[in-house]
Amino acid sequence: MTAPVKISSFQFYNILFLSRVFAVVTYIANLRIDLSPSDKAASSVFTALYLFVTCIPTYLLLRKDSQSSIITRASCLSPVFAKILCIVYIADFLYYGTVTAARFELLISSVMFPETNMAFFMLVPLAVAGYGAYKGIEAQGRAAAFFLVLVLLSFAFVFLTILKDFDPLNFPPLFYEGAGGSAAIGAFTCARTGEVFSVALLLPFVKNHKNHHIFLWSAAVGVTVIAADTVISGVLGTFGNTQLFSMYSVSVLAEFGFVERMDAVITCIWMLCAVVKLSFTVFACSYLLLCLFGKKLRLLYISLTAAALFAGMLAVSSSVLNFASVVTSAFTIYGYVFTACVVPLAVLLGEKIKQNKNNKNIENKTLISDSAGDPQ
Amino acid sequence: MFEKLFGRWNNSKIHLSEPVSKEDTDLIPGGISKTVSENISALREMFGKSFDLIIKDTDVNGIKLSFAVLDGMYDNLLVSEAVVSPVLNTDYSVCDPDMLYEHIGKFRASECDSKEAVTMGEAVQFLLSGFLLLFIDGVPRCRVFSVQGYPKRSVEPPESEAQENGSHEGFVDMYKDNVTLIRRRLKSPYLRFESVTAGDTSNTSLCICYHAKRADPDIVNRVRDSLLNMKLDIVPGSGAVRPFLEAKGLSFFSSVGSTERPDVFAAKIAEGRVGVIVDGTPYALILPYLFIENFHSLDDYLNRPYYSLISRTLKLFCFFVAVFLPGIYVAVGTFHQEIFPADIIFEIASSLQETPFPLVLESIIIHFIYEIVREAGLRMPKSMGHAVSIVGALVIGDAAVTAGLISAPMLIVVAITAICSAVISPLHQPSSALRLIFIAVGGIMGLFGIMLGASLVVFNLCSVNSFGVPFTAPFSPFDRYAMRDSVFFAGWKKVGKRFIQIQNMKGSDKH
Repeated sequence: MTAPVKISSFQFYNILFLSRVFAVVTYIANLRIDLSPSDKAASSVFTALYLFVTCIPTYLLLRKDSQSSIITRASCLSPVFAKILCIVYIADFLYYGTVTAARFELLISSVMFPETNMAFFMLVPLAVAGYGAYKGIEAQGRAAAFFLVLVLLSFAFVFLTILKDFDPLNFPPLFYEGAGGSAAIGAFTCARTGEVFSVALLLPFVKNHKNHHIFLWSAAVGVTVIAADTVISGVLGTFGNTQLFSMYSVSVLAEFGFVERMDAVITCIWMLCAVVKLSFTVFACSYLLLCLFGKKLRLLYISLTAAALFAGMLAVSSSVLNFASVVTSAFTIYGYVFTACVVPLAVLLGEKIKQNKNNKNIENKTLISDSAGDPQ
Repeated sequence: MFEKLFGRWNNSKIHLSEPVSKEDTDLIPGGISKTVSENISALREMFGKSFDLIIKDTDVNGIKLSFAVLDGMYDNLLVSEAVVSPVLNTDYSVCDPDMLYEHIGKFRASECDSKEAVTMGEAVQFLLSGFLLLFIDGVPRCRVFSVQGYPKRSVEPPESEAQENGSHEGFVDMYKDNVTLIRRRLKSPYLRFESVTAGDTSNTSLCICYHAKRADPDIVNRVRDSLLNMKLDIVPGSGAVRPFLEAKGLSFFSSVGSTERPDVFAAKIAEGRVGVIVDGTPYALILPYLFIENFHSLDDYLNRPYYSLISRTLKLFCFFVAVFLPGIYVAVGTFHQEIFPADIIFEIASSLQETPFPLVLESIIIHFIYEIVREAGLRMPKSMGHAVSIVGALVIGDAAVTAGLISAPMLIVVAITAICSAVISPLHQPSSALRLIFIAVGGIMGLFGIMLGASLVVFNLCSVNSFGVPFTAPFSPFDRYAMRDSVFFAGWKKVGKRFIQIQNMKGSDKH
């Protein structure tokens, strides 16, 4: 599988960063466990920690070979294994893409425009995402750089305007009811999106990849998550527990000069991140379908993925409870651990076993040839 | 039955797609005859009843000669003094036709440039370009003299790119004059001007211009191939050539630049770009071209750097206002009234109450009217300009608001938008189209739609590569050195230290 169009390492991790930021700004921590503001802020530290740890298997995989994708390496072990891996990854991407779209739909239908026809509203971002995917990862990488500037500026702007409402008294003693809740929420937040395994998958599209960039990326995501959660908790306090989208609630409270609400700004960030994330998901899925079937039918693959995401979104977002049951299912964490940690380690192990086997064969052959050449 | 139907359809398609005329001079059969009268008859047959074909027969030392030229295309004085008079005064010793032919070329008419045409097609091509043809009885070739002298526009200040500090010379319609204007500014032996002919019927001369040491040979070859493979019947202007040089795929923005200024053109060529000059138009094309260059002007380089930062930032701001302001106004007025404080929103709401149309429709109508007034201003005779200004200002500006057809805030938005779009004239076309799209999208989906539309435009913009160079460079992919001449100009002292060739920018094919 050749990948002629390449983007820089910065552009690649930028796309992943924006995808993660989307998960941060659509933070719904209280779907499963009710946490105090301090514990909620602490959960983001756990998230950063988990993210860092789950990057290690991918790092080990990249350290050995940072040029080939995990699918290529798996196909060297066994073509069937590679095909199964493709299917697993497609399922994962579709799951995360569906959750992304559903999360966005939920925001709009429950908070912004409750009386609108959501099917139409969601069809448009998916069409834009499909267009982005069709234009390729190069266009996505370049566009993400522009979006990053907008997102960071908007974040900074909203946070600076809301700082006057930041109250340290909103933070009760940490882990008053134990650290378990924070740890659990941290795990769910970490498992919310699947950027880590996309690193191993889409490497052939990245030029001059440096392996330590994955840790830089996880650190940048960690800092953003901690900053966002601290500000949200400090501003909203326990009121945040009653809010479905606490970041959105913060932006409603923010005001600057004659502009009395900032929710439009935050919604715009959401949209940019959602479009980047969805187009990346569609692109990754179309690449996996290409790996699976081998035929270059990009437009068909992109359309199929977008249609699948749309159908999934409609099913998941039919009610908040339905969405909560999908997002907070323990299988989310199992699935994440499997694709981000188990699969790379399995590939590494398989390569090690194969290498040992080859070495043994070579040794045996050398022994045989030595004994054959022995004058006895 | 279907076959018949499709057969008929196909036939009609083929018939329609055939060129109307095949006057390509390469297709004129046959070489030049030894007999002058035959050549003249062939010319007369070809030009039919055209009154402007002038043929003069004479003889020198008993050898028949014929001159042919097109009326109005030659310089009278040059013809009589540099060609006809010396030819007629040839020595009596030259009495062989071939000797006479060589003698005229070498000694008699040496004051003006002469060439040789071997086929009738070549001869006609020269004739159509204003050359004087000389047929000599007994010689199967034709001597052509460069005596062109047709009326042309003199060098004048460029109308579309007026500058405060720059030169007052603009390109003219004659491409050879334009070549001179560039040569005067780039006195380098590596400056190349390659001539290419395009247009099956018009046979228009195009000129590829580049600096041999700085331009990427791949880009030069690709430009040459694109021009040679163009399927055009006539080339009415550089705009007709532009689509053949633009990046593949649909885009709102053109990846080929255009300028009327020889100083700007020369500066771009010195940066390693390739230029295309089209005969008959004062607009030269430049490629590769970057999106940010739409916001650059010569004055930015000649003013103080801080002022160029202000000027470019203003232009960028104006572009965003021209594209997004009406759409955002419609979106906010329709869906997100909560963004504004109560006082402002009451003012807007009360003015909207008095108008019969919904905000989105009102916005589209007023923009259409604005575009109509603009078109009228461009196309109408200058003497009628005042009438249109009065109608536009009074009827639309005042009477429509007084009559309650259009709200005053909307008129203010349109006025701001119109002024802003005039600031960024190279982007007028995409900004006009995008503005209308964003009004519609803002009216249907609010800010949500505006952001999605903006994302789509950004994807579109980012997917464009102008001859291997990213259209969005140096921002994305980010190039630190090239940023010194982007939104701000770092000044000649800094920029002059390290020269960046455009093909070596980060993210381009060569990097």
